[in-house]
This record gives sequence, C-alpha cells and structure tokens, in this order.
Amino acid sequence: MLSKFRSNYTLGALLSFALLTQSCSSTASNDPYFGRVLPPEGQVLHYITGSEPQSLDPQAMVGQPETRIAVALFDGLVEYDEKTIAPVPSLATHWDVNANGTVWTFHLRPSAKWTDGKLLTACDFVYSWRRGLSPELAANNASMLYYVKNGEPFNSMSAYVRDPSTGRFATTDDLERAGESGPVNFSGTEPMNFNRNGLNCDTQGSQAASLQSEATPQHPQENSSSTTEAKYLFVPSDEAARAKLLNGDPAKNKPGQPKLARFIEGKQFVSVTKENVGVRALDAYTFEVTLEAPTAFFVKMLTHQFFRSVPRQAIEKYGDTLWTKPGHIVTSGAFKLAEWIPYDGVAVERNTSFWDNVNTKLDRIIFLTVEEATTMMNLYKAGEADAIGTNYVPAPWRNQLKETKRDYIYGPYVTIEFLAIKTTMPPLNDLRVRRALSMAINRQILADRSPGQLPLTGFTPPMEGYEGVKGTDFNPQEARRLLAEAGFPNGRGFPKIEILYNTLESNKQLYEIVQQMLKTNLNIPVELTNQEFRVYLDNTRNDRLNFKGLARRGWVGDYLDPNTFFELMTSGSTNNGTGWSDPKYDRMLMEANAAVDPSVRAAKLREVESYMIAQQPVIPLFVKAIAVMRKPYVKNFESNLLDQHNWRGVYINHNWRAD
Amino acid sequence: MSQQPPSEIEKIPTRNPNESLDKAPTLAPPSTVAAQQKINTPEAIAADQLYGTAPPSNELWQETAGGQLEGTSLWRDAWRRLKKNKFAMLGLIVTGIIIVASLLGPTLLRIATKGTHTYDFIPQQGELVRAMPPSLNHPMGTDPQGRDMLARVLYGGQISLMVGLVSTFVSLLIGVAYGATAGYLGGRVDNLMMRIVDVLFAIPYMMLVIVLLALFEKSLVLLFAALGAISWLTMARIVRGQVLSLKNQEFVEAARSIGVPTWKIILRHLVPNTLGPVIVYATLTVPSVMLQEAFLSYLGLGVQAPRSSWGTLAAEGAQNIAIFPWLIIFPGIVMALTLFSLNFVGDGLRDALDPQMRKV
Amino acid sequence: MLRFIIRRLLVILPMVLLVITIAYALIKLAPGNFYATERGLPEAVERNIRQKYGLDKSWYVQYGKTMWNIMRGDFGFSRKYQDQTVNEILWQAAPVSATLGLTAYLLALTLGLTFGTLAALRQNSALDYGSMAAAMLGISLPNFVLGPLLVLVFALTLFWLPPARWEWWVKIGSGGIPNPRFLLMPAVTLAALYTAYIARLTRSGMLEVLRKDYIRTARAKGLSERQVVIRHALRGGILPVVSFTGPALAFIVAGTVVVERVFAIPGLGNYFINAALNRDAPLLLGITAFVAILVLVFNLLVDIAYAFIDPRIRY
Repeated sequence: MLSKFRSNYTLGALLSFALLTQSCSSTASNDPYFGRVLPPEGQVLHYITGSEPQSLDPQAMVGQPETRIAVALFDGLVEYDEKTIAPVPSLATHWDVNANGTVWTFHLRPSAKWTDGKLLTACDFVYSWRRGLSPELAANNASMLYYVKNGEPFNSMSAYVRDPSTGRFATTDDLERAGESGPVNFSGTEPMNFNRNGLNCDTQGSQAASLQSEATPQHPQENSSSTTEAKYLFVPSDEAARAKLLNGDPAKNKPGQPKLARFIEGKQFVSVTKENVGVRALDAYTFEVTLEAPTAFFVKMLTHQFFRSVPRQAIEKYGDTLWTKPGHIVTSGAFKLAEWIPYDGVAVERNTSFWDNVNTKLDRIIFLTVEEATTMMNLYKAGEADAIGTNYVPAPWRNQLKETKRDYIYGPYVTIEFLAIKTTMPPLNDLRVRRALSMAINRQILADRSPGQLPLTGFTPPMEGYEGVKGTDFNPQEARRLLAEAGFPNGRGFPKIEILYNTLESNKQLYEIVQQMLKTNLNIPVELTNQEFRVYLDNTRNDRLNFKGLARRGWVGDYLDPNTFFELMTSGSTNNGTGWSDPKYDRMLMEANAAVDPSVRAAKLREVESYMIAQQPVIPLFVKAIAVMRKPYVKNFESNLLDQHNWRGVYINHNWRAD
Repeated sequence: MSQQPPSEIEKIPTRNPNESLDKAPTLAPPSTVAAQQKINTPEAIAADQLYGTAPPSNELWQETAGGQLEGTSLWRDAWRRLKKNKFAMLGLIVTGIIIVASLLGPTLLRIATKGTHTYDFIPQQGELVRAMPPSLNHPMGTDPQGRDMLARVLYGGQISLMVGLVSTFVSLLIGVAYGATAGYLGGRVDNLMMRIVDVLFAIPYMMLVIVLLALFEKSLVLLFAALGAISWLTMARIVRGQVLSLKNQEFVEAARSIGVPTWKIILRHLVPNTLGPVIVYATLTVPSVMLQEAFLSYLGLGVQAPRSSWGTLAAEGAQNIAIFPWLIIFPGIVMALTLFSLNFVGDGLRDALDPQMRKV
Repeated sequence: MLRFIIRRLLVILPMVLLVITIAYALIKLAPGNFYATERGLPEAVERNIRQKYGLDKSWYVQYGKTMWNIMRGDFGFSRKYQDQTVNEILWQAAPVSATLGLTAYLLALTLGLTFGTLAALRQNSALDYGSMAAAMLGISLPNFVLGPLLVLVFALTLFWLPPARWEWWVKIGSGGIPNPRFLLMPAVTLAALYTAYIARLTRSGMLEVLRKDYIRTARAKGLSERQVVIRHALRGGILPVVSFTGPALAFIVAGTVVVERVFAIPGLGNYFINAALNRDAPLLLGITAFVAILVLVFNLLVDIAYAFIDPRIRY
C-alpha cells in the first residue's frame, strides 16, 4: 500500500513561477561546473553507485552498483586498468597459456593476505571457483564459469555413465556408435580428478602447512592430457530429472529419448563432483585452470568480480549468507568494509595490510546508495557527492550539460541498445519485413540524444582489436519497397505490432521516437507497451516470447570481447527475446573462439556477426555512452568502457585549481 | 424517491439535529406546523425534501410526476442556490471551459497546425527533438521529444478528467453506501464490514495491480477497477464514523420508532447529514485519483505512451524541474486550476444541498 | 468497552494471517520471479535456484512452510537483499519511516486543525479563503513536485539544508533522535498534503457542529468562545479527521515511497516498493504484515476515540 502515491497533484503555480527564473539561471549559468565544488577533507570519496547492494558476496551479486563495491573489497587475479579496462596483473603477477589455449597457469603474489591475516593462496581460488559453480550456492552468474572444464556438468548436477562390468565410462562417441548396432563397449577412461596431481585444498587447515610441502610444482605441459580427454556423456544425476529427459516432459513439450534410455540402461551413474572441475593448485602460489575448449578471451573475463576469491574461513564459519555482515566479512582488496547502512551507503576504508597499500591513495570511499536519478544529481550539485556512476544523468539533460559543464564526462560504453524481433510471428518471420523495419529507423537521431552515442547497425560496440560489421541502415525508400514486396504496400494490411519495453523514463522517450519513425516511414500501426521489469523479463524469455512484435533490449558487455554480445544470440541463450536460433551460427562462433591467433579470430568473428545480422533477428539501434559526473578534484577517475573503476589509483587533489 | 402521499409524510417527526428549544429565526423548527408555515421559502422546501419529512408544496407537486417529485425539486432548488454562489459558478464555468478545451482543443490544434502540434507528433529532424522553452509557436514549450506541450496538456485532460471524475463518483457511491450501512447496522455486521475494509487497506496494492494486469486484458474497465479498488475505503470509514455518531440522535430514533424502513433511514436521514465531509473528501479524491493513474501507468495500466495524462505529464515534469521547468509548470497550472474550480463547485454544492446552512 | 477492545485485539492475529495469505497468493500469481536478470539463465542455473529456495515444491508445501515460519516470527532472508533477514530490515527501516511519518503527521495535525478551525469560525473571511486556498495548493502540489521544489530552493540555491539522506542525531537502538536538518524537508513535503486534508475536513466538520444547538446553548450559557470551541465544537467537528487519521497514520508511519525516494531516506516505503517490484516474497510478506498490524491497531484506536469524542457512540 506504500506504493500508492497518497498525494495529489498539480502544481503550485506561483511557487514555480518564482522558481522558473531562478532554476533557468542555475543550470545555464556560466559556472563551469555543475553545482558546488567543495573538496572533502582528506582522501575521502563520496561516490553514488546506484541502488542498494543485493549482497556483498561477489559470487551472489548481479547488479552493477554492488560490483563496484566488490572491486574495492576483493582483489582479483587481474584488475581493471582505469583507462582501458584491460586486465592488468594484480594477485597474479604473470600467467602462462599452453599452446592450444586450454590450460592457463596463474602465478600468484606470495605477499597477498586476507584482512584476517591469512595468506591468500591458490587454494582460495580453487575453493572459490568450485563454490561459484556449486549447485547449492546456485549462483546466478555460474554460467560464466562454464568455460572451465566440467564447469557446466558440475553446476547442472550431471553424472558420468559407467559400465559396472568394465569400469569404463561412456563418451558421446560411444552413444553415436551405438546407433542401431546394439550395445557397445564404453571407451572412456576414468575421468580427470584435478585434486590428484595438485595440492589437496580440501583438508581443513592444511593450507598453511602444505605451503612448502609436496612442493613439486607441476608444469602445465606435463598434465595437459586433459585437453585430449574424451568427450564424456553426461546425464542428470537426479533420478527424477533423468526420467524426465529420457521419457520426455509433456509440460515443457519435450520428446523423450528412447535411444539414450536403451543406451544407459543397467549402467551406473557417477555424479560429477567438484574435483572434476578443471581448477587446481599446483602449489600454494600456482593456480591452474583447464578450459573446456580453447578460449582466447579467457583472461579478459577475469576482471569480473565473479572470478575473485572469496574467504573460505569466513564462509565456513558464518555460512553462505551471513559471512558478509560487518564484523564477519574477510576481504582481500585495497579496501575493507567499515560500515554498511542499508539504503544509505556502504563505507569502505583503507586496508593497511593490502600488498599494494603504498600505492592506494584514498583512505575511505563512501558508496552512497540512492535510487532516484534526480536525487543523485541533487546530492552531486549540493556537493554532497563527488562522483556519480554512469547512466544516472537523465538523458534529456546530457546535451545541455555537455555544452555548459566541464565535470560532465562522457565516452564510449560497451553497451548496445537494440530491438529484438519476435521472428516466429508473421509477418516478422519474413526477412524483408524485418529489414524494412530496420531501414525505417533513423539511428542518427536516436544516437544524438546523448553525447557520445553512436548509431549501430551491427551487433558490437567499437572494441580494440575488433571492427564490427555494418548492417542495414536508414533508407526509407528501400524500406517501403521491401515492405510492399512482402505484401504490404504503403503499410496496408500490416497487422498491429507492439514495442515492448520495461518501464523507465528513458526507454519511453526513446521508443516514442522509434514508434513515430515506423509510423511515418512505413505507415504501419505500432503500439507502445510498457511493463514493470520483472514482467517484461518474463515475457521476453525465449520459451515464452509473450509480446506482439518487438521488444526493447539492452546489453552491457561483461568483459571487453565481442563474444559477450555474440553469446546472446546462441541457441543456448534463454533470453535473447527473438526466438531466433541457428546451429550454424553456434558452430561458427565456437570455431571463431577456438582460434588462438587474434587476427584470425577477429576475422572469423566478423563472419559470425555478418551472418547473424544478415538475417536481422534484431534491429540494432545505437551504442550507448558513458555519462558520468565527476568533480574536478577527483583524479585518476576516468569514464571507461565498462564504468568499472580501479579504486586504488583514484585520489582527491585538494589543489585542483592549480592543474 | 418517496411514493408516500404527503399526508403520511407529514406525520414523521423531523430529522433535524438542531431540534431544540432554541428558536433560531433562520432555522426551521422541526414541527410540522413550522414546516407548513415556511413552506414557501425555497430553503425550507429543499431541506424538507432532502430529509423527506415535509410535504412538498402543491405547485411543485403539480409540476412533476410523483416519483420524480422530490429529486426534481431538490436539484432545481440546489441549482438555484448554486447560481447565487459566485465562486461556485466561476468554478463551474472554468471546469466547463477546461473540459471543452480538452475535448475539442487537440483536434482544433491539429487542424490549425496541419498535424505538427499533436500529443504524439515527433519531428523527424534531429535538431527539433529536444525540450524547447515556451515560444510563440509552442506557447507551453516542447517536451524532450520535441512534442508540443500545449497539445499534450489538452489531450492529457481527456483521460485525467474522466478518470478523476468517474472514479471519484464511483468511490463516493460505494464508500457512502458501505460506510453508512456498516455504521448504522453496527455490531457484528459493522465489525465484519470494517475488517474487510482493513484487509483491503493492508494488501499490497502494487502486487494486486500487477496480478490484475497479468490476468486480464488491459482496458479502461480494468483501470477503473484498479482505481476503484481502494479509493472508496477512506470514504467508507469517514461516513461510518459520522453515522455512528448520528444514529443515536433523536431524529433517527424517532424515525425508527415509527417504523421507517432501515434503508430509508440510511438514505434519507443519515446520508444527507454526512454530506459535508463527504463532499469535501470527494473533492480531495479527484486529484489523488489523477495521480494514482500516473502510478498505474508506471505498472503498464494507465495511459500508454505516447498518450499523455496530467498525471504522467507532471511525473515527467517533476524529474526535470531543475532544468526544463516548463514541463511541470504548465500541466501544473492547468491541473491546479481544475482542482480549484472543482473545489469551489464542491463547496457550493455542499452549501446548496445543505438545508442547515445559514448563509448561501 | 473493555470487552470490545479485547475482542478486537483477538481478531488481529487471524486478520494479519489472512492479509499475508492474500499477499502470498498475489506474489505467486504475479508474472516474473526474483532471480531473473537480463542475462538469460541456463536451465541448470534456474533449476539450482528453484531448488535452493524450495520453489520446486508444490504450492501448499511452500505456503505451509512459509506460514509456519511466519507464525514463529521468522520471515526469513530477503530474496533481493540476500545478506539481510526481513526482521533485520524491519528493525532498521521501521524507526526511520515511523519517525518521519509521525513528525509529518503531527505537523499536519497541528496546522490542519488550527487553520481548519479558524477558517470555520471566520467563515467567508479572508482568513477562511486564504487558508483554504493554501490547503488547495497543498493538495494540488503532489509531493513529487513539492519535494524537488523545496530541494531546489533550500538545498541547491540557498544551501541551507542537505538535499537528501537521513541521519540520526542521537542513536538509540536502530532508532533515536533524528537530525532536524535532514528531517525538515521530507517532513514538510509529507505533511503538506495531510495538512490540506485535515484543514478541509476540520473546516467542514466544524461548520456543521457550530450550527448545532448545544453550541448555541453553550454560548448562551456564557462560556467563552475559546471554551466553546475547544470543549464542545472541536469534539464533534473533528470526527471526520479522526476517521481519516486511522488509515492515513498507518500508511504514513509505514513509510511513503515518493518522499523516501526523492530524499533517499532508508525507510520501509522504499523496501516495500522494491519488494513488490522484485517479487521478494519474504520481504513483501514481512512489510505487509507490519502494515496490516498498523492498520488494524490504528483503526481500533480510532474506534475507541469515537467513544470518547461522542459518548453516544456504543459498540
């Protein structure tokens, strides 16, 4: 009931009139900065990060506001470079990759410690990555670790199939060979147990003791056999789930698999365990990761907070949810938790035991949690906040701020805005219609609404080392021709379609313009439908696609590689909102990612992108821009591609006028 | 309302709470004699018609058909008093102008500007797609999409006025009937009815709307259902409170003692005496419903973009108050004007319908 | 009277459970779930999550378990704010909302009753028109406009007050004495509307009462105007205000979304809207229970108050 706006509305005309002159002058004044410039005393930064953190557990959090806090609290194998966002060595001083890009070995910094004084070792990473994948934690982001060997089978609670008579394991090849010819002998050997050749990280308290012992550091080359390991057959280890797979699931309209049922009849099922996951500690400071397939961009993902190590000692003591409480939490980053007042802010302070403490400049960061964009702007304007995270500056303000204020900074952002087309719905299943829709949109107008935005016809924002392809662009004549060809001359007979978007002022403004473009250029009826976020998510799921025509989508890259966008359109992705899936596309992407040579890979990725764009399951609109407010005295704080920050380098320059 | 012949009505003692020994000259003493003596003054007629306690004058009786008699004379008389109330008339005129402007304005504007000033026209030239301050071409400025604010404000009046007035009227009907029934019957019935109200108060309204939207096709009926689901609750409580206090007063007891049916007591003796707070609260409901509509738009129920309502315009305007103040000022002024006018009308109506008012 | 109060108190628990049940049904019927994100979830991950939170069980098992825990006072962990239990959130946020709400309501009550009464006593005077116009302004000015307007003047132009946030001056438990610098603007914003409601309801109630005989009698007996108004008139005249206060106070104490968001106040209103938007069932049920208790208790108090105001009222 709180949600009722129990108030009424209209306006105090007199008051506002009095303010009209005042407010105009305050924003359009000649002041080069937006609001007051009052440097804080000492090295303290007040940063508005967005809404209240979901959790401080880097493996449980999903939203962007809390990831910035996690980056301050938890050290990673690699850390963001403030400007380029590229991975720079942090906990890992250096790393090696084997020839085919499947085994990565990270050499950890021996001086790294947890805030409770414990040494941070390779075992902490083994523990953390296994935890990230464990079905019990049920991490939302678990699929980010599916690149790791056996990550997916472990997370999805799968089992190997073992022949009790021979002791051998079934492979996918065996299943294929079985065909009509009846039973075959399984060819798989005992699956890899990554605990066997590495440090045993499971024994309680063994870490410190074993630091020097068993120190026969293995070299990756010696046990890279795992890459040639057979492709095992996996089935659900849970009996009910297995029955559903074999006999079909009428509820989800899935047919049974009698062939598989016959194949595994009478066999044993050996659950995939955490030891089967491709991570191990070769010694206390050598962490080895074996991947499922060659993955060239793997290290680029590792800046993400999901790959950062979590403190086993605290989690085991306080449990999966309570360990993040102030007083319980143990961290490894340049900052440690000082205070957490829900819905007000999270304060972190300098961690003096951090290995790079001498180069950390700030003593304290206060991450303010605020929901309303205008409130953030008010706090900033009044000088109560020193910087605001991206995307909170209201879109209509941006052009004006750009022209008049120097503390508004903007730049490219690895985020694209596009419309997903429900390709299963006539007439949108007609490629000509999809292309006509795309050609009816003047992307330049959309992009120009905010400084730094770029029109987009392909599916990737500009990224270093990769140049995206171009798709169909604004061309109203051609659009009308295509539409006529598809049977709708001048839009006649075209069924009513809708643009579905999640409720947000900026979405509304944007799609009102798009709607007008489609109406004006194609003369077709388009409705706008807004839904509250959770409903919208539910309706755009691939297994539901509960909307008529187009759905708004935005995608923030998780890491700086085109794959973060292309993955979205693979058959396995549950949420691209188009109903489009193409096995050829999946295969092409897999092959491209396996290429080790960057230029070869880039060329292959371009083929992937143009293949997809040519079929136009989506209408790309524009690349978004970073829009950040930052007081002039905040230094070494850049508008980078992901709006993630390496907090260690940020500082307050009290002498900023001298610069 | 009453089908009873005058002679029977005559016997019913009055309703009048100010029945007393006090002989205030302007107030009709309750006795039948007094009522008959004062029969020719319009106030007395209206008062007595309202309470159904005094015989109508013969002239009026002849003018109208039996069943319509009281309603007609009551309203006609109220209208006469209303006409004397300058503020109420001003409010009525302004409300009328705003309604007419909302209904005809958008069309006229579209014709006059060849379609460039409508609630949804967005220029296809990039440099025009931005918020522009008021000018000769756009007297209320434009919104960030470059649309004419005048057209949007006028168009917005259609839905807001409809929603505001209809929902308020419905909530008034439900709230008054429910509250009066509960209050008068009292005891278990009252307890049960009021606990239902409490439950409706306490269930999370937002979830209710989300579920309603999921279960039913989005429509105007659903919008009214969502608005109506709660707006009558406070009204019901206020009316019940008044009735609890009134029902033990002499005039009600008197009516009861001579066997006037319960529904008639509620309708003709109790409800009229609660009109003061009811009309005041009803005029307060209008703006709150208009605002509620903006909130429902957020959930996907109210008006859908690119259509506008005053509620959504103000919500958008409030966000840009510091940088594009005209986005809030003009919808605000129009809405404030409407509410002021409605309020004067409400006050005037109350005075006109209230027989006890000394000054009209 | 005592029996009446006891009867009404006894009914609170079942009523709250009923409200919780309805809220539970609503959240189950609503489309969407708490865990979805724009990143599509692989089937396995979704299954793990559903298993972890018991969503794979049949609805009556889930409902039974939820209600059993609630009856023991345990609402469990919030789904959205995973590190916090619902009880913790209530404990932290309720004092903030309650402090703000009570301050605003007291302010509204004081101003509303004063101006409403004065307007009624001097009907059709300049004072009457002035205060009623001001009340209309308060009603016409929604708090999402008034709030930013106040901020614009006092925080961004004059720099007298902070534009947002909340601070306890003296902290006692999870509540305490608020810092008036942070309290002032949100309280005034919140109070504006209620002041207007109360002023208008008081005026109309008073107008009615002032005409009644017992007031005339009182005046005739030679009582001073002050005594007449305060002892006699106000009693009857505020009946509508009292009726209005029951639900209004329940909601204002439980926190109001708009004001809390505009001023970034860590109150319950914010949590409530986010619980609903994020399908955070435990948190939603927790706050709903809190609101239900407030509504039931305040309406009971109102019913008791009726009897004191008007001794003729019997239950």
